[in-house]
Amino acid sequence: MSQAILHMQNLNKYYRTDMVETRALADFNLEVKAGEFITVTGPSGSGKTTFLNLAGLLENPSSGEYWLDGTSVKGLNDAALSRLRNQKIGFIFQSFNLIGDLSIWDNLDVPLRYRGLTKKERKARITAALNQVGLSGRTHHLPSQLSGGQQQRVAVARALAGNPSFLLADEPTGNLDSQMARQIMNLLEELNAQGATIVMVTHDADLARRAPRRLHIIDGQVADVRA
Amino acid sequence: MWIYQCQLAWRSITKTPALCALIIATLAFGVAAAMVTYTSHHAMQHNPFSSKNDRVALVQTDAWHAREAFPGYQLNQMSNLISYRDYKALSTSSIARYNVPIAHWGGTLNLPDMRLPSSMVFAQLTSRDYFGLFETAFTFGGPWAKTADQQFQPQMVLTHEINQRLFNGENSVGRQVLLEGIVFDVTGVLKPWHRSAAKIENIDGPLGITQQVFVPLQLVEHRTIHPWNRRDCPDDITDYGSPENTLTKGTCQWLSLWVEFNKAEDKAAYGDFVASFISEQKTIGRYPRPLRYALSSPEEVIHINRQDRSEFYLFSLVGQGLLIMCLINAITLLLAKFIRHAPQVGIRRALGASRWNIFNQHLLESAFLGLAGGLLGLALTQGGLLLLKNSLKGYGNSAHATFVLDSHVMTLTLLVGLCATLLAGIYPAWQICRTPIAQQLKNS
Amino acid sequence: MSQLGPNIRSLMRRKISLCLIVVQMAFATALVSNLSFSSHQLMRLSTFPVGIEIEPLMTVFLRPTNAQGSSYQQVRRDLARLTQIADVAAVAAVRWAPLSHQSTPYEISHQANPQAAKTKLHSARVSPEILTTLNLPLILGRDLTAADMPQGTEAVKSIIVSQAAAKALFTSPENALDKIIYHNNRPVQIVGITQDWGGFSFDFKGTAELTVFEPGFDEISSEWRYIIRSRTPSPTPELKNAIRASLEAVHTSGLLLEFELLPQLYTDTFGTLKVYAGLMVVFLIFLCCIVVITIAGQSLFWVNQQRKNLGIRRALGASRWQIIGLILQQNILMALPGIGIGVGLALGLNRLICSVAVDFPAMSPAYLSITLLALLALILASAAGPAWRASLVPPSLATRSQ
Repeated sequence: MSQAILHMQNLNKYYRTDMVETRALADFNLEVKAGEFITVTGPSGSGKTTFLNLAGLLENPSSGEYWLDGTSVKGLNDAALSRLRNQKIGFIFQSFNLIGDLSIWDNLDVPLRYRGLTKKERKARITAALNQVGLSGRTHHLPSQLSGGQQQRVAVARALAGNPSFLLADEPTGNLDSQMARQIMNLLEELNAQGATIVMVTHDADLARRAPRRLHIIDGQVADVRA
Repeated sequence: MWIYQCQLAWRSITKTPALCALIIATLAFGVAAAMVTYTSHHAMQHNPFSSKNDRVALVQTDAWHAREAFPGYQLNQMSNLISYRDYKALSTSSIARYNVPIAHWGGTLNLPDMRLPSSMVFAQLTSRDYFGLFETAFTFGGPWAKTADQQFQPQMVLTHEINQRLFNGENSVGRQVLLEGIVFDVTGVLKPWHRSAAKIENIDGPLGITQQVFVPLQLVEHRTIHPWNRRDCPDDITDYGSPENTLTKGTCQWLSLWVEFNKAEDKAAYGDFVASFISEQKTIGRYPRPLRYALSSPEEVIHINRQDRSEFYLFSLVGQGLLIMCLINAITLLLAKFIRHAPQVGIRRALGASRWNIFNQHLLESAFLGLAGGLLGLALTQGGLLLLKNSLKGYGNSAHATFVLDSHVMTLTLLVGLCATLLAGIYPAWQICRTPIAQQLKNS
Repeated sequence: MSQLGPNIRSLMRRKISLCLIVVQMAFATALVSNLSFSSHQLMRLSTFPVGIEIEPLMTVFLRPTNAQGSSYQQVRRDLARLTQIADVAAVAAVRWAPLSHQSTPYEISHQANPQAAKTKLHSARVSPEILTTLNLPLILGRDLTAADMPQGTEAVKSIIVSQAAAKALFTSPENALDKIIYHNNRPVQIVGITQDWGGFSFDFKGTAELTVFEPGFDEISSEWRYIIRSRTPSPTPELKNAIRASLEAVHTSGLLLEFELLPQLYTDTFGTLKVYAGLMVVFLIFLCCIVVITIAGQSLFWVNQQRKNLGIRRALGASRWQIIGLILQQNILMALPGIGIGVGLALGLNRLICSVAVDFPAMSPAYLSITLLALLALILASAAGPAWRASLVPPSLATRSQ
């Protein structure tokens, strides 16, 4: 049995605003193994985004345990969390989240720089990642000069370039028309076939059904796991 | 519509009082720095004769010795001063309408009965033409008789301030005063007179003096006196016998000669006259250097004497630099302020406000800030000038006496403040009004 | 963690901001360096050591009413009377008050030839008691005596010069002593050399210290001066009254008399310089405030505008310190071109100052470098707040839909 990339045990997350305390995730348990392709669905307000933030180390859980690629993240400081995020996780966001005043090349360069790779290594990785998503000719364009689908492919390339343990996709097709959405989905499936672990949050039931394993979050709990 | 725009602008200002106060304060200080330094520089190089600049001239000749050029600081390497003997010779010409020699002297002043405590005054040694050239106005009487410039007569013109002190401001024409043991008859009293800081009138003397009397220069032939001028003396081993002869017959240069012509064309004719005078002097061994003279206009005199390049000129450069920096600072702060309006602007645009409306509203806001900055700047300018005047007082540098905040400077200050802010407001206002509505709405 | 390349490329896209900052920094560099240098020079000049104890010293300026000239006999009589006053420690006649910015130019040549090269010194006619009164020690030679005073129209035969003047004329005080030099083509002998002291005048080159004491009295002038050292730490009003009474008793035809305290003359002479220096310091402080406000304001503006992007960077693995580094680096990068242009401007402005204020020294490269470093430190300090704020942007901002 392959090792769990992502292992969450009794995770809780509370948000406090003045008087009200909201429980966004309640005793959340999940294990994701290498090479899996998982989709996460749920109505808005169900805790999808909270799950994503916790899984991506963007926020800390209120209680519970989380092992990322075998490492417990409990009590890690900001620098260590940043390093983990940088090395283990590839983010793909709904609104692409490319940095507007950096070129495509420089956008891919951002996480690699933070990792402190040599120029040669960075160049090799960026070229490879752009080839993988079929955008090798556009390195000096600005994000605003590309179509939505192309921008999302750049975002995928940026996530891939870091050679992460898993890809964390947040509604990657949410801002795209259906044809573009299908292209991106095909790309993700292709990547999964090549061995990438992918966790994808979506509200699109049709897309969700294409994945071999589907999670459904309601009221902060994993209500339904169908393998 | 305008009233509504003003209301919007005002509301926006009151919403961020700290930021607005910062903008106003830096602007005000920048404006004040620029205006205080500008005013002092302006006073230093103010040309009181700008209306007749081409008809008034200072006579300069190169009467220096052969071994070196005149070593003074004048840019044209000629002294501002000429010798008394040259003055006597040159003033025989009738080409010039006015011949005005100016030298400085002074001493103890009192009434003949020594009723008052003696005091030191400056005395201007000059001719009757002085009052014509400088267009001075008299409260009482007038200048001395023309004959007093040929044959010494003890006649004197008082400034308003001296007349106040000696005669309580009464008509003193015909009364007598005692200066350095000589009894003078008062022929006239001048009106209060705002004097230029530029060394036009007192080319080689103290500036901004009000405690002053005017006496015919002819006095030097009548009695041994020691003018309070510098003396530029070329090499001269002639023995003139006595100190007074050295002063009146020697080659030392110690008085300045201003001339005014009826029309600008007369200047050339007078130039020929000066040149022929120098040629003639060369035949008796004077003027050993190449023939050179200048009839310098007041503007040129200011330049030759580097008054347009005084320390106040440097300060005014620094002041202007500071103002530019304040301007950039205001642009940055306004940008930061306006960008926070983006969501609101989006809604306004969606509700039908035109781009022009939005631009106007923000420019108006800048104008309000500019006006406030200008007014505060005006107060700071006034305070700064007073402070500068007071701090410089009594340090021998009397130029400060002429640093005044007149209506010209006041208007200019307000204008500079307002224009500066409007200029600073244009870019941020343009930036905010050109953002697409959709994006602004999305950001809200 | 160097992100120089992308950082520069990203900055190039913020053209207007960049231009504003470049202009701002160019002006700031030129003004900060020159203002601090100039005010430093002025302060140095205005606090320059006088070399004599000035507190107990004052001068009395006399101008008898209706006088036609004066005589050295009168002076001797006045000096004798003044010495009688209990609080007067010493008194001498002197043409110009020390530190008053007034002196007689005194040109000296080594030969009697009028064409010979001349050295310019500052002189004053004095009575022989001058060194005792100033309490200015001789380092070589002898003091002036009554015999040195010229009689009638006789020329001055012996003078006392300062150490600096001796060095300027003969390279060393030892060489200068007893030498004959020429003033107005007439020979005079250097009989004594004093310690260096502040002199009558001042300038940036320090030629104020080139002083000459010339024994003599200007009989054709109807005004003169006594310099008085009081026994009290500073002259008292009683002393002034006693002096006034003593002199008015003998100058029966009326006397205009003014006291000048040397500490007052000192502040008067250097007062203008201090005012100028003060003005410069005010400008300098204001300038620094402007720089801080501009840098802090524009980076805060940028940080607020870029919160989302900063969140993305955090999500992609930037630590808080790396974000701080990013902001600081950007500010330095934005400032550098301006500072570069500013160095040129600064040198230009310095040359202009030198051309206006004759004798003003040129700015040394070392001084300029120190100012540049200080300016950079100021920029970093100004950007520190916004950088800290940027580092607080949570990485989860990246997943928040707009």
